[in-house]
Amino acid sequence: MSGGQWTLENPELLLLLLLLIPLFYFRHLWRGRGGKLTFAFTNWQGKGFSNPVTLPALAYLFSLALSWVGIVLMIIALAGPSRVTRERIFTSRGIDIMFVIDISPSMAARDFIESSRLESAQETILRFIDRRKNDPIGLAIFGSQAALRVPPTLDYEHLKTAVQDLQVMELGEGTALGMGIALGALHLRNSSAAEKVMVLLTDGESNAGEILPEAAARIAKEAGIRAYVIGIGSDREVLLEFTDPNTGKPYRATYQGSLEEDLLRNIAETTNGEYFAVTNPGSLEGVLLSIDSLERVETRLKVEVNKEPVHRMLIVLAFIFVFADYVLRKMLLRELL
Amino acid sequence: MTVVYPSMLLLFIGLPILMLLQFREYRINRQDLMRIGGYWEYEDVRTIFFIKWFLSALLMILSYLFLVLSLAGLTWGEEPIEEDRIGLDIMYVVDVSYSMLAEDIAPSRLGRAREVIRGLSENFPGARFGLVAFKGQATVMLPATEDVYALENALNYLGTEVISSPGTNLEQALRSALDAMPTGSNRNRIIILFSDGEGLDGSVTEPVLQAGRQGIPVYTYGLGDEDGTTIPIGEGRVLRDSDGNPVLTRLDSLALQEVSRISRGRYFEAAMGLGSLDSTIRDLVGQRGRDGFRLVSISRYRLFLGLALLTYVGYIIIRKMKFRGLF
Repeated sequence: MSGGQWTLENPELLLLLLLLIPLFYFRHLWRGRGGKLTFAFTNWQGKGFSNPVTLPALAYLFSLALSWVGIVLMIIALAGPSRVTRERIFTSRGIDIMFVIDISPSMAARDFIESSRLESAQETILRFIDRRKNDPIGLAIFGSQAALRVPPTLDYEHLKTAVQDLQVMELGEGTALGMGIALGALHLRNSSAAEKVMVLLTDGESNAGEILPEAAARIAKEAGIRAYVIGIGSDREVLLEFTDPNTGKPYRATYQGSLEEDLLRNIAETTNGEYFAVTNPGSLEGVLLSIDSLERVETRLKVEVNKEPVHRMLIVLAFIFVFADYVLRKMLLRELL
Repeated sequence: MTVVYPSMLLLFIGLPILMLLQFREYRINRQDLMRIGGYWEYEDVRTIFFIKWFLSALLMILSYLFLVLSLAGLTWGEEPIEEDRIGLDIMYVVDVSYSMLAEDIAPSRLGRAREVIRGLSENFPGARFGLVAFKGQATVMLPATEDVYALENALNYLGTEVISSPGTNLEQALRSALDAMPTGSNRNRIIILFSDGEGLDGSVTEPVLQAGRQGIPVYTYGLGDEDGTTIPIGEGRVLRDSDGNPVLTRLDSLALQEVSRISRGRYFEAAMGLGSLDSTIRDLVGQRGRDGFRLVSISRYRLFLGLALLTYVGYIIIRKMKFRGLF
């Protein structure tokens, strides 16, 4: 949607404003007009009237102004003012992308200096989402179990909130890699998209869940899904800092884990995807950028124009002005003729 | 003919007030005129004064009348506007207030809503579905997606406990549904609202009009019957008010019918089953897909606004016209 623009449905009706000139002349200037009394000064012993600036005189002018503004507003409302917004309509189907994110405690490791593995993953994913336009994106997470957070959707605002809300250890201490892949595959399986992509982000060895990662990878392949696997972190000992979302208890520890690179590479190969090893936030960004450029499809779009009529407010104002003029002039000022 | 802003018709109460003011004006002016001098004695002056007053009062009243009619937003007739759409986006909006637990339709009002949603989602493969639950507030439980498993998940979670704030704010619900509607979609978009219509608050006119403008009909599905029933809260107990009397709830379809009428949707009742809703949606998708246009109601505000302007200018002219060379 682009910003608001104004238009008139029937601008020619504004020509009615020209008719106000003769009306103004007739109402206020024409010598032959009625609505006034003429009488001889002799009745008042020849003393003339001056026209002092008094409060009633000002009120009278004000009420006349109300009346004229009311008329002008009515004419503008007649011309049909509308606010125009343009919306880009995609006529092609994008690809489906499912992020499958490891949220086991080790993802809180601070080997990225400034932020933890999960935090930098969140930021990078948010930027990735911003670069996409017409591709439904979903979010699944796994710890000891796996859960779908957001199904593939174009409602990016909803998705981004879900990405921002991710916390480590929401789903227990383990790393059920196979469950995560299988769940992501399940939610992509019935999609009508021509291309289905899973972006898997993990930092450790698979140690939980009822589905083996290799089996899950085959399920994904059969569903026509290409998996990009990102192994994050290093073999070094790193500092771990997080708050358990279930108990609210803060944890602080050192952690040394290992990345099962062979397994991850194997998953990527099974599904015709690619494996990336990431040791710092910059390279994570780079990986997502390259996935971004790998997964591009042609988009076709057209622009749809929406018009929202805005005459109501003008009529309401005209209504108030015109009758305020009447009450002011006839009731308060006691205009005679 | 549809009145989009029926509340504006309340302004007709102002008509008798305006007439009273006119009579008061006539009386006061007559007295003033007499005080100024002998003018009142002339037969001619009296007649002209009466005629001018009568005509201008009449025009003033007509002007008021037409302005109110213009504000009431009368529409009749329809016109086609070009629109090329394929496929379907359905946003389900479900009332999860406590009264939806009532079991006057099996298995319960909420349970029936779930069944209808499941049925529709099976009937329209390839469509995208979203789910908004509302009470005092609205929450998007499922953003629009093709993923039927996610829909099933969300339906399982759908219950009175998903939102804590009390009330039944339909305005919020419709706004959330419109926000959650995929933008940039070239599909037919519809909203299906499930509610018992009881105690709805919020002013729905604006969101409903917005839906209508965007070509999003709101189909409303009234759940419950009109006789009234108690609300079970588990273990055989029913919901009671502070005096210990059981709370009764009944279907109130008025607001629901209003919503569907203004947005060019349709109102359904549980007794009509899934079939009529299903075929209505098919007709909509079919018609738009085949003809490449959709019908919109024509707003007639201009007609009345034009008449109001005309009578008001007439009022001014009568006031300022010189009758028989006198005033």
